[in-house]
Amino acid sequence: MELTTLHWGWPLAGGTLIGLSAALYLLLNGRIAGISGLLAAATGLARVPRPQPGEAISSIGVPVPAHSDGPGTGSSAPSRSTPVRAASQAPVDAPGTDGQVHPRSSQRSARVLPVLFIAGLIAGAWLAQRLVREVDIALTANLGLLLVAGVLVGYGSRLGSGCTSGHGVCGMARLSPRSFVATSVFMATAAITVFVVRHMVGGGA
Amino acid sequence: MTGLVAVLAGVLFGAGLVISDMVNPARVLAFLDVAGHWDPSLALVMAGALVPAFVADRVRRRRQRPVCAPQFHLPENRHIDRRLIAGAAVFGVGWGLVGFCPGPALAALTRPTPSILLFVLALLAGMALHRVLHDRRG
Repeated sequence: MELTTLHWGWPLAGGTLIGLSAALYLLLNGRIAGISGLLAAATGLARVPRPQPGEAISSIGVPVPAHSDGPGTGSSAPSRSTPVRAASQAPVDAPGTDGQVHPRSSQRSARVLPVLFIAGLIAGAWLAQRLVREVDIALTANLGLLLVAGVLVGYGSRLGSGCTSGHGVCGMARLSPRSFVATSVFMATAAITVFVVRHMVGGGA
Repeated sequence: MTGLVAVLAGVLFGAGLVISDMVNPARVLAFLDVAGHWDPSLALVMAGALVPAFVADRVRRRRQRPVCAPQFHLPENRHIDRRLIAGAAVFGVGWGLVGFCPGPALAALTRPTPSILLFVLALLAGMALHRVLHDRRG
């Protein structure tokens, strides 16, 4: 399988764009640019659990897990997202940092923004191929392998709460210990998988 | 305004995937192929991405709210648990099998071959499977 040599400027430039994307999404919209989470939200596959009475709700409107050590965005400054106790069975939106509740906007944002981001992603990929550089998407895997790989990536990203963009870029940029662990783990298992498939079994993509 | 930001961020992300060649699974696999003909591109992509992302996070810590939205929506779980590790491990295996993760797979839809479509469908199926298996709450 011939892979052309790529000047280091391309991955560096492309990576910078990805970082800029994450930076904008964080500072302007206040959200993580993690593609697995965005895709799940966009397709309605993201689970938004209904909070139980008396259960704490984080600022994104989901119950705070019992085992977590409470609110914390990794910042040393005072917490900006205080959990609110749910008063009833119905889903409650926690007040924003401005003290106001934003029920409609947060529910709409939870689905609409991801759809817009992904639409932009596909558009950006298309534009870059037209205006900047052509790509060769070398995919030689057979159907069975594609199916298994896809399911594992989809399942694993949801179970692990992130992927290469969510944990690898956004999470590590935030100095999140969870993301450092997740990234190390998936890099390791990915490398092991490639090793086994290419150098032991002698097949694969 | 948040919608416009989402589109713009998406465009930058998609463009970045193409310009960095991360949309090409062979390039990704070559990075993961530590014992073979190694390609450093993915490391350079990460390095390039982490700089603006890190700077943005430092700025974020000093702000009460984002520029265009009323509040931050950031993950709050800080516990390193088995689900995180298991999920990452499974994700890594799938990623290493073909060289696609969600972002590049979506970007590859700009060249929709049956293989790419099948992968994306399988990706969604995997996400749905997780939802079905782990949805314990009403």
